[in-house]
Amino acid sequence: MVTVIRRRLVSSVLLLLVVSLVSFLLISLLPGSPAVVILGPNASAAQYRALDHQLGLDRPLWSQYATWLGHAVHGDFGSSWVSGQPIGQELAQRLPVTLSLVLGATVLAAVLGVALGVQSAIRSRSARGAVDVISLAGAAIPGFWLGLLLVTAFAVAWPVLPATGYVAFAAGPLSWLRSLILPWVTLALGGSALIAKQTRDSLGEVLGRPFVRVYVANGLSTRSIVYRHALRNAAVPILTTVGVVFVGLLSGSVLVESVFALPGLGSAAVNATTSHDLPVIQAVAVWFTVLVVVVNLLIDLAYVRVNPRVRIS
Amino acid sequence: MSSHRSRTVSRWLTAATLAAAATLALQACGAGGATGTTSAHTGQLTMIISAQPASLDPGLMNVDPNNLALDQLAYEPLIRKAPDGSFGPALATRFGYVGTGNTAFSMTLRSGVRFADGTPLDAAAVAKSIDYEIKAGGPAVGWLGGCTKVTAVGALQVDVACTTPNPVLPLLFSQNAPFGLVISSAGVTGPGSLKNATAGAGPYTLDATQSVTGDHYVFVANKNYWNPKAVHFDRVTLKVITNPDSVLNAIRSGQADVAVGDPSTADAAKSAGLKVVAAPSYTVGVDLFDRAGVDARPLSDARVRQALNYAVDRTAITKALFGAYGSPTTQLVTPAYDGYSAALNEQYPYDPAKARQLLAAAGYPNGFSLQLEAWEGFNVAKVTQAIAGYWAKIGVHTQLTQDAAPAAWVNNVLTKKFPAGGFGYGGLPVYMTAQNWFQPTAGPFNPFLSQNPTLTGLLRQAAAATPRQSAALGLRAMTFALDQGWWVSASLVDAAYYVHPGITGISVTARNIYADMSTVAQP
Repeated sequence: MVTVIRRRLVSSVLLLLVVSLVSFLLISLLPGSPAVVILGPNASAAQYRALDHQLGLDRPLWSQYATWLGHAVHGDFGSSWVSGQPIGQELAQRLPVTLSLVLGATVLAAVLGVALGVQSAIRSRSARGAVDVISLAGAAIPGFWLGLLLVTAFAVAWPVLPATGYVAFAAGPLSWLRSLILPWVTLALGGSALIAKQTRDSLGEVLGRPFVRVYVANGLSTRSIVYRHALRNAAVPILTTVGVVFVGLLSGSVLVESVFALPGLGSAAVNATTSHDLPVIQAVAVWFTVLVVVVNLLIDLAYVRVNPRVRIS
Repeated sequence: MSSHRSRTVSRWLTAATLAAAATLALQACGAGGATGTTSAHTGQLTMIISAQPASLDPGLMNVDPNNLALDQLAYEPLIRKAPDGSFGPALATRFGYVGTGNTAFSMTLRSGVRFADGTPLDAAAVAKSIDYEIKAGGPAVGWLGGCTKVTAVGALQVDVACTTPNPVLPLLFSQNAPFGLVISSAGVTGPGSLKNATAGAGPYTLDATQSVTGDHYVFVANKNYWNPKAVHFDRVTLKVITNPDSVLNAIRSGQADVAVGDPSTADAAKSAGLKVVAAPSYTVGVDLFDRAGVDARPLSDARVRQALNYAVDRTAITKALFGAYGSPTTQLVTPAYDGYSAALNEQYPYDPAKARQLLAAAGYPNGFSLQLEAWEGFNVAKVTQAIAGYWAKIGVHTQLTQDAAPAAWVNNVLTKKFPAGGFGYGGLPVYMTAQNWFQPTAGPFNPFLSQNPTLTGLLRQAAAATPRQSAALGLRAMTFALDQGWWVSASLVDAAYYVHPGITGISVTARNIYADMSTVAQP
């Protein structure tokens, strides 16, 4: 187990380095400059040039990257060019929002997806068809459109939930829950479709194995066979899919944060990209990568937990 | 079988009961209003702004409704511009030009005023603040022209001396421009702090601990404000929501009291029972940057530029894109400013035949190709696409590059990558419009540094003239420029604010397109 974690951490450092370099190069290819955003469209070319110099944007690219990396390895992501705030502090304020959103949506997608997948695997053909339709609809409906529909229904027409905004857990758990219900549903529906399909396929395959027939012959109830034995055997591919869904939801959170005006990392990334706030974009890319690495590590550990064969190998 | 069915029914009933209970709980919690962003209408104001402010620092702020809303809360102006366009006292009790020629301006300050940090606001502090804002090099600095010598005379008098005439100093020292928003000496001495804190003498101060940059900004009442009666709220929250549909949903559901609106949702806002306060604000169209034909030779011929104007059906574009919140226009200047004339909107009626005739006379009977650029904000890309469609009908075929961010647009324009591009501009007097469009100072509205001696002469005279003479000269200048066809305007678009009934003081007119945050109240 320790070896697995150690190997993962070494490859994660390399991954972070590559991600930071690639994102730096990609961002540098974008046209425009933060000076334009800071000074607005009415400033003169000389004013833009002066601010570019002040921000160090007239230095060679490698020099800019080396400076950034030197500070980043010490945990110092610098200050936002636009707001002047320390980036670590700014992103730390936003991290709980994105974590609440994406982890909650992943859990919801997993619960919904597994429930639908199980029903699809054990029910009749017509029930399976209904589950397929629900899954397909979940995958096909665009998140932003669904979000706007849900807001219109549950915040405007029947005002039981807030239309926008986020409330910190510490400010009130129920308010926190209320502020996240619509974003969770919006984000989770697409992911649940993927998990449902994977659950049905894996469970279907396991239910055809001889040990299941033995359990049936011994008179075990369907519920016990499915939930206590078969699902556990089908869990590894489902967990893999949950990991993939988490990454997908992380990128999907950018749009959902915009629709629900949630102050998370995704909206920080959008703001920073629009304003060419290079240090913030870099930092968000690194933080997103860290999140993905951590979740993948947790998924790996979960494999070991649910399947002893993985532990032995 | 029957037992199984009754178990199933019972399970459904339990689920339904739980769902109903949860709904009631959510509703009960909603009624409590403990959602963080919900305004309880008890000494609190929540306003939605539609974009992240470019900077909190007045020296670097952008002059737009979002950035102004934020800075007006914390920084008291020297002069207050009223909705009717007149200028009245604020920190300066008396102000005006000295002598003739618009080259000297003097302001007498109110006594006994203190900044939020408790330090006195005197002439020295005001001079230092304006000096800082000039040196900060923000987007508005070009509008000052040669008026850069600011002197404190005694404790309460500030004099401004100009090397060239400037007729818009009252506006530049008002709440609608950075130079009017006075920064304390502490703020000026450490300008880095102005990016995430405020240092003004306005009715509120930013509470950075409760704010999240780019998401929401919380202001609390300034205990040192000179006019406590004008502090209408204990707390004001500015919430950034960029998606127009989300803006509408948030204010409809009662999460905000006021919002910076958008023409695309204004009708829906009105239908939802909100007050829509709107006024003609900015012009959208295509700027023909390369007026000398450096990269796009056909544009050097005035007949071609005029043909491009005749080819466009402004009425159809405006009706389709803006409905009741826009009107067709040929002009750059908005109504109520000198240089605007309703008659000039008849200068280029939709006449494709005449457009083709002019193209043929200029030597382009089969049209030509043109590279265009537009950014997606302020409906610029939509209007540019529509104009390009009309041009195609007279044989002028365009390749349009769209940019999601204004930064990319301005960068491409300043590096002269495109001979023409979409623009959204307006709400400014002739003098300021001329600085951006007709003077050879590089900027995104005149990147090829075009100028014309006749136009420059008229504008110089207008800048130094009395208001009455200036109006006539300004109109002559804009008429001349319109004849040259340097741009193709299509629509004059409204600035809109959505206001909950019960909130007062949001007023915008063609003469003052930005809401004055100091007047917003809940009687």
